[in-house]
Amino acid sequence: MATLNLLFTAGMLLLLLVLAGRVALRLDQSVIAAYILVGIFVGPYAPSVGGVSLTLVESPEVIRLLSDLGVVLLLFFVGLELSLEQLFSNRTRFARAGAVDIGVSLPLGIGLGLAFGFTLLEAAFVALIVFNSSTVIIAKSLIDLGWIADTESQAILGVIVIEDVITALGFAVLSVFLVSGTDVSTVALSIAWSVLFLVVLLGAAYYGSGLLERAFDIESSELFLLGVLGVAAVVAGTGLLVGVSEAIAAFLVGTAFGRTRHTDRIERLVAPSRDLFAAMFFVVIGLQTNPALLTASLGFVVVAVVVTTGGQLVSGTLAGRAYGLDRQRAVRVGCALTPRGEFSLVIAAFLVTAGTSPTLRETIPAFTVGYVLLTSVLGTILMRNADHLSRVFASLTSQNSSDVS
Amino acid sequence: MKVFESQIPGVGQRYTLRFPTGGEFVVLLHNDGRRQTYWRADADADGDELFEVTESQARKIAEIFDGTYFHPAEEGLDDAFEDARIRWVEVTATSPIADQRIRETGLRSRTGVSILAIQRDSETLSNPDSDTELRVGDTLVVVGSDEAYDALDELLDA
Repeated sequence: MATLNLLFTAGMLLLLLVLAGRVALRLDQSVIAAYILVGIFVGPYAPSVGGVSLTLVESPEVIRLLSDLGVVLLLFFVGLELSLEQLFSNRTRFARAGAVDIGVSLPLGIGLGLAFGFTLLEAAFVALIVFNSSTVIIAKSLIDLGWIADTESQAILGVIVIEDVITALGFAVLSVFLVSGTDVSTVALSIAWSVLFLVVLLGAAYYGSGLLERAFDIESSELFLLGVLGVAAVVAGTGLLVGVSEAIAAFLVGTAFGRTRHTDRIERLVAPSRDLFAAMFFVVIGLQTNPALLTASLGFVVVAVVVTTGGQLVSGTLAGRAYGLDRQRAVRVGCALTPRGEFSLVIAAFLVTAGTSPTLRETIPAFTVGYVLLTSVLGTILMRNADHLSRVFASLTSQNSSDVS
Repeated sequence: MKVFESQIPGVGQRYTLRFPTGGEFVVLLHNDGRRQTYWRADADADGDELFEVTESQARKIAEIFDGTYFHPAEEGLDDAFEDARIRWVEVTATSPIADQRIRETGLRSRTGVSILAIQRDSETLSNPDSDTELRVGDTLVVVGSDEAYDALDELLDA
């Protein structure tokens, strides 16, 4: 048999993604889970059917660059679309809702990690992974269900923004502490470099938007696209050099661009590239997932899904109530916040290369893949049945109160 | 009528128009140009999706609401005037009239050409007053005689 060339392989992979994506959309699911599954089924650990291995891509290295750009663009857009003004205009309600969500979910995540026998740092990473609700999945479901026009969508989107900010902050802080070596001075120096980079980047993002504004007054669309990609990649790469996650660096670049007039043009010109590269990122996540590790962590995954989805349902509903919604809409908030996705996977992918213990490099990433696959599907199902769920709650509580009387 | 605007990450912009008589009209403006519309009878009701339109259809609807919609004439507008023509002139970065107010350019007194409207990005400023600034990238809709255009070409080439 002739050896397949790279172009053919890439084409086959893309077509498989289209096929899997169509099935996912038909089932009202997000494409993220579909892309990951394709990666698992055609990767180096692919199963054999009738003695023929399904492996199409021997190693994720072939599309590593595309996938890295996917991480950069995913988080770049989170930063770009971060609209803190909306939060500030309604700050007391969002502060209450956010505080309830964070107050329940983060401690729950850390407790879960510690209960699995992880160290505090490892548990903190687990907490972030199980904390961040997927903007991509939720935004799609909000439109599919028509909730986008209703009052609860404001609360849901606000809480997601708060979660993204907290996750980015937590991720930045935790990644600084991921240094290998025992020599105190080297460790201190490495931490100092990371912190310095973050501080400088934060300052540049805050004060440099005027400069970006002028520098990107480029008439040519293609040069504009290349320029945005170039700036994001260079800063993200510099972040990696000094031990800061490329995703955090890209996030901060995104916030800087979000303060310029170029936001709409970036949405128009760069979003298609983001979709392409992000798909490659989800595929690579699948490619480097060993199903053996996935099944090994299945126990963790199931426990985590039950505990955190339950926790999120409660905290989300309470957050909705704190925001001032009625019970039905508050339950919708609880259901909407349960899917996990891109941000959790970005953290897991970072740990694969930057992790300093086998738990961080293997166990937690495999756990994350299983966790995201389950919650993304379960979350969309919960959202579709939210109103049914709130009726069940209502009948339960009314029964309780009639028992009491 | 109150209008509320909010960003929907990864999707686009949402506008909620609250009518004083009750009811809310919601427009979801996707980044790819599609517009989805919803109606809510009151603030507590669930939204019902009304219809979805493309960007160009939305523009037509907007013109009808605005009272500015008209059917384009069958023949070119060029023939509508005896000795005057309508032309579209782009303001380039090197143009001597760029970044000036219409009054400062002296366009009308120096060439005899009048500006009917300015096309800026996706909006049209019709009948601009003399304080309006001409920006790079604007397309000017101008009317004038052949002589006036000769004068205009000279001015722009200067």
